[in-house]
Amino acid sequence: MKRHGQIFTMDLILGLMIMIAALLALLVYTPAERAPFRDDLERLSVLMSEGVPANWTNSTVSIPGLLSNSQFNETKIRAFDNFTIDEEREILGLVANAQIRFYVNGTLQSLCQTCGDAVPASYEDLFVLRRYAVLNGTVATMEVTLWR
Amino acid sequence: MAITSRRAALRKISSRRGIYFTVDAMFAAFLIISALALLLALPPREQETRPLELAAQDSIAILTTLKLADLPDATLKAAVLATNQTNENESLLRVIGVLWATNSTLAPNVTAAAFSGLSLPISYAVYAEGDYLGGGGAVAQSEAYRVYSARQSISGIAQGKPLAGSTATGLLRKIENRSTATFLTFGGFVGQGNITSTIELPSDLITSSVIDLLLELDTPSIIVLRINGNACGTYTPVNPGNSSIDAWLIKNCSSLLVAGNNTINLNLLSSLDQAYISGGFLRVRYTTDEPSVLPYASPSVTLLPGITGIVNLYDAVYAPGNISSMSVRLHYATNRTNSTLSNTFYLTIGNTTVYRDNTTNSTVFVNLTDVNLSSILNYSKLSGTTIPVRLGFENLTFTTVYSGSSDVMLATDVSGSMGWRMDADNVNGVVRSCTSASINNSDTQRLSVAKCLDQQFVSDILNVSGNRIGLVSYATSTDVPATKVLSTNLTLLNSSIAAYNATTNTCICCGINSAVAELSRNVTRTVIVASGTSWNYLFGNGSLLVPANDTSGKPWYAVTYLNASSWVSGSAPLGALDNGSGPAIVKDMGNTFTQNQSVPVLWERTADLVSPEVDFTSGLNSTGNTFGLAGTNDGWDWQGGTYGYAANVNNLGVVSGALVIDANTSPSNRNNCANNDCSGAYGVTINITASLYNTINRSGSARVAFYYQWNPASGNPFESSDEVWVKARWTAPGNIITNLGTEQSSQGSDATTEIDFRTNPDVYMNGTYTQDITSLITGPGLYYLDIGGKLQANVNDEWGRWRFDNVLVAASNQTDVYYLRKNFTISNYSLIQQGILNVMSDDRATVYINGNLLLDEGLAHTAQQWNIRGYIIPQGMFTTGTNVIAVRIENNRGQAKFDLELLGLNTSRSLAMLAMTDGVANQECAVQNTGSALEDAILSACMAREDWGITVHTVGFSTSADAATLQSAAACGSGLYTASANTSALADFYRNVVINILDSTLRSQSVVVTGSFQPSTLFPDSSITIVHNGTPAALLANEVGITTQSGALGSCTPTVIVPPSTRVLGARVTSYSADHWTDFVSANGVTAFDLGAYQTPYIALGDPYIVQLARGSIVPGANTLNLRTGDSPTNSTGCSVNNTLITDLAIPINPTYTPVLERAIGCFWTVEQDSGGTQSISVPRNYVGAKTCSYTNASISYDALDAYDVATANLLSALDYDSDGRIFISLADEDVEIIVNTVSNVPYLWGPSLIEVRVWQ
Repeated sequence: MKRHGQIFTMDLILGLMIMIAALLALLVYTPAERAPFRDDLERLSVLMSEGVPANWTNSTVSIPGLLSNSQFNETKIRAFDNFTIDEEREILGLVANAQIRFYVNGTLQSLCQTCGDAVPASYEDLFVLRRYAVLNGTVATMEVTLWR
Repeated sequence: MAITSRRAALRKISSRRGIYFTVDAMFAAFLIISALALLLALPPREQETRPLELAAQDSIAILTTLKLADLPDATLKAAVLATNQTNENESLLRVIGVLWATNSTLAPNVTAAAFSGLSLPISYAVYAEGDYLGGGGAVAQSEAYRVYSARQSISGIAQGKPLAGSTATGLLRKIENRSTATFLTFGGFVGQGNITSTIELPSDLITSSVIDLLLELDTPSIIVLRINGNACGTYTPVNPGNSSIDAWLIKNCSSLLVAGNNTINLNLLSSLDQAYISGGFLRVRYTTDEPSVLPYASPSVTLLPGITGIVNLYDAVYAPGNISSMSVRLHYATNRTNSTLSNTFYLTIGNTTVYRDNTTNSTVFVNLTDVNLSSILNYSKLSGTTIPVRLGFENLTFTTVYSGSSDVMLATDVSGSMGWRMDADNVNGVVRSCTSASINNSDTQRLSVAKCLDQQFVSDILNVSGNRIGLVSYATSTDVPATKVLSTNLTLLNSSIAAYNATTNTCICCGINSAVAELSRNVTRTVIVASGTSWNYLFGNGSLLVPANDTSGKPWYAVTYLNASSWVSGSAPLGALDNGSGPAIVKDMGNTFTQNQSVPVLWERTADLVSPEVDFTSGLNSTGNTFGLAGTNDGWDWQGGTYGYAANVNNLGVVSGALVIDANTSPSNRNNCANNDCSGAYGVTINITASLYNTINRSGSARVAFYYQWNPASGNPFESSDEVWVKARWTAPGNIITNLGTEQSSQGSDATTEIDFRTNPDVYMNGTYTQDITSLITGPGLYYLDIGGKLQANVNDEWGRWRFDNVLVAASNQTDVYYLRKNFTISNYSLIQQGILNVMSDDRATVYINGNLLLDEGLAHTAQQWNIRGYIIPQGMFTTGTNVIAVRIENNRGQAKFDLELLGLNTSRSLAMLAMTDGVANQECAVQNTGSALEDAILSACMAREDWGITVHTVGFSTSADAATLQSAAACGSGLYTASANTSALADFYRNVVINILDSTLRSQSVVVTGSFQPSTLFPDSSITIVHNGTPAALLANEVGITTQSGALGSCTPTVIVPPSTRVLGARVTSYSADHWTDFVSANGVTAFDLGAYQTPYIALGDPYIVQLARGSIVPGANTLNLRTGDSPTNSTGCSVNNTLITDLAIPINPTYTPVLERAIGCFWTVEQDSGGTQSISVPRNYVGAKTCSYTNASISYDALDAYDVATANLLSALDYDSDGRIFISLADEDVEIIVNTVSNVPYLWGPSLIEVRVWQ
């Protein structure tokens, strides 16, 4: 009887090891391999907030939200534009390369024209995220391009 | 060998199984890894779909953020604004929602415009509650692989519903320039002559602010009214006197009134004896901005009316709280003549004459200070009540004229013995006329005396207008031809009396029965409550506690007592018929109450204190042998020779759990008592504490009990000459010794009572003895109980033992109370012009009628039918419709018994008879049928009283008259009795009977001015000032105060409804008393005024017209009043139907807003009041439209979508407490205005409705 118990325990341990290994593989490799910009998308969501502090400046910023009263705040956008590319990536915690542009009625706005890098001609992966909010009484589109 | 092979085989199998499982696991792992690989191969859904979800959320946020003002399309914006959405700062989300709710076609356009700034690679659509409102994009929704949506709720909109409206609340507000009134009251009785009073009007009063005057008076005189010296009309009463009132509405004298004090003269044009007012008022209605005066302010100043003629004032003042001081200012003038010099001018407050003046012959000011008054007035008795005030002249100024309503029968014995002389039987008397100087001689014939006294009696009775008298003469039977019906014909009656002849036997019951027949000949009797009927009752359960008031504060005897529904109903408590001897006890409530027992300390050992009896289980508690009351309060004692004989018994103490006294005092079982006789006892001191005594003294009881045993020596040693007793004694303070038990055997030397005894006591004897010792406890203190035995023997082998156990002394509060109620209906009030009440009770009864105390038997008694016989109840205590009689029966011990009969007569006349005889009844009556002429005589008087309320007076001529029978008959008939052979004494008695009849039938005391009178003047600046601690009534912050006056009450016991939603600040009644006195007023059983309590003839007391009701006695809801007038406490004259109730009310203002309604326009209202009539008002006040609304009994109509109208209707409904379409106040008279506050553009609370944006690619 004791031998029977040993045999089943060995099976169980082996099965569990295989299972855990598979799960670890899934966790380790999936984000990077199959959804390369998922974390960056989450980090970029802070741009659709008022930020911290709510009236942040370049010297006081903790989280760089671009909205005030649910509308794009031109002052905050320009302040964000004042960050260097490295500062933008650092403060947003981005892994991928990113470019941020604003459009109204399809027209590129002069705001944030230097936000982020220029999109290279070739890249391994590229993802475009568009967010919408009111800017100066009309609907504006914030277009964020991520690539690597 | 076989075993080895099997083991090897098993090893093989085991080895193979391990391989198989490993392969299984690897196969499973392969499957899992494959599934994971497949999963990883799928597109990363989250990263691809997230932007669309965010886009949907952003779209909703954009609609919320963008304002109507942001719409780029000016034309579209203008179109939206044209839909009454005038707020350009409204979000487009709400704008779209409102457009949808109002079914506007602009919703798609606004939706498209909102998203026009987008250059979307996505498509979108906007929905409201699933209704498509617009959208855009290149891909049709139906072709989308996946659609994402975001939702936002909007409150206050719903499709087809209005978006905003108005809400309103209605309230009452004392208005500026309010209309109110000031009353100047007159009476109870103001006379004789012209009357001048002052009425104070507000300081802002001008002619145009005076609305009208109302003069309402009970007077026989034509009145000329003058205001500030100017004539204001002459008014002739149509209903003079008798509590009937006349009222004149005066509208053309406004200009005569001024702000501040106004002098009102009432010149009474009738003769001086008719120049009076017996109640009434002048009411001045006006508009003013001054606030209302609330009741109970201190000091309370009452101005007395000015009187020019003969000052004759019966009035009252009111002390709202405890009186701290009083003062009186009298300003008067007298003009004495020689004939009136002795007339005394006096002022009586309550029943105390506080001022007398028989000297002044000029105008004087008199100030009676508190120093004067406090020493002679009982302030505590006068506090918190209406105080009668009498001001006038004593002596000769007036002649009181009596008018009666009494029917009297005079029953005269004309038996043969009436021919005898007054002072002796069997000797004929001398016939004399009434004018004979010798009529009072003792030899005068009895019948001669009777005739004279009869004729004088008849004359005296008929001397008072309104009385009637009839005659009955009887001998062996009633002399029917000689019987004279009730009459006022003095001549006829006298001649009939003169014709009496003495003959044959004596049938007293015949005379009484015939008199009853005549008195009741035209009277209808109604049985209101029959004997032995079912009652609602509540058993006191051994407690004296009074049943709790109900939730409305009504006591158990009130007309409406909500808790009565939980009382037991039925005749069960009335028990069974008692067929014992004597007056039949018809009903027996039984004796089932619980006793509450208290026991004194009997020095029982602590371990034995389980039961109240001393059981000696653990021994005797002895702290030293100090037998007798002279000893200290200590433990048990013992003694020999206690009850006589020798002392040498053996007190063995406790043996086998019982006290033992042994007469065997010799070691050889011999009686060693001297002469073989001895006694002994045990005893203990008992401390009757004050508490115990209270228990006993408050109708409780005390008893002693113990177990005893006589255990004789064996061998039957005793003979018949031997005796044994069980003895006990109770010693009270003062060493007053009482032997307990009863006298049963007095053999030998024993002459006292005993508990038990045996002659020839060879037999065992035992028992438990109990005796009531209530009467032996005369107060708190130390008492002593001893119990023991006594032996009388004649040889020394005669002995035995007494044993005692379970000794108990206990006090029980056996008093028990039953509460009974019974409703009865009076549908025809005219049939019950007086009630006759018969009550049987054991031990005593207290009776209430319609919430008012009728009688309270002071002393306990055994039951007889009836204990209360023929108690007359004035009609005023009844009411048409439902009446309630409530009875409290208190019983001390034994059976509680109760029965009641209530009859009604259709006459208010007082019925009485005087029955005379000179002998002993010797003729029986079939009506009574007791088998005894004497008992028949007594019973006939009893029946006259209990059946018809007839007062039966009896008188015996000569010393041979049957005093016992006549006295019993008079007692049963509630009449007077005497017996005498002395003519003068008999004449005095006849006069006393006349006075008794007149006193009990006096119906009015009209004032007639005769002879010389004393012209006098009381100036209207005379006053009585009372400083008291009564708390002035005050309004709370959310209340408005009004004063309402009911319509004529119409009854002496009316039920008046005070609006339930109000708070009563104060209440009072008006009482017209004509030439009687208002003598009793109560509200809900709470007595407010009781003139009889002064125990003074009413003629000497004041008479209020306004009687203030006790604070708190009038409550919101139904209230039962009782108003009576009378000439004495026992002579009620009913009441005036014109009396009213005046209440100061605080109406709470608790505004609640209506729901949001579409409109706030207003209406022209027609409102009906409970007091009658309608009034038209505009709400709001500036409403001038054509819309009409009504709140009347016939119709309640208004615009249910108009906030003004709904708020007004809500308020009117609150003022219509009985929901009859009539409000309880007059908006015009009560100085109030309906104010409606509205708030407009209030969003509705529809929805919320969901706005949804869907996006897809």
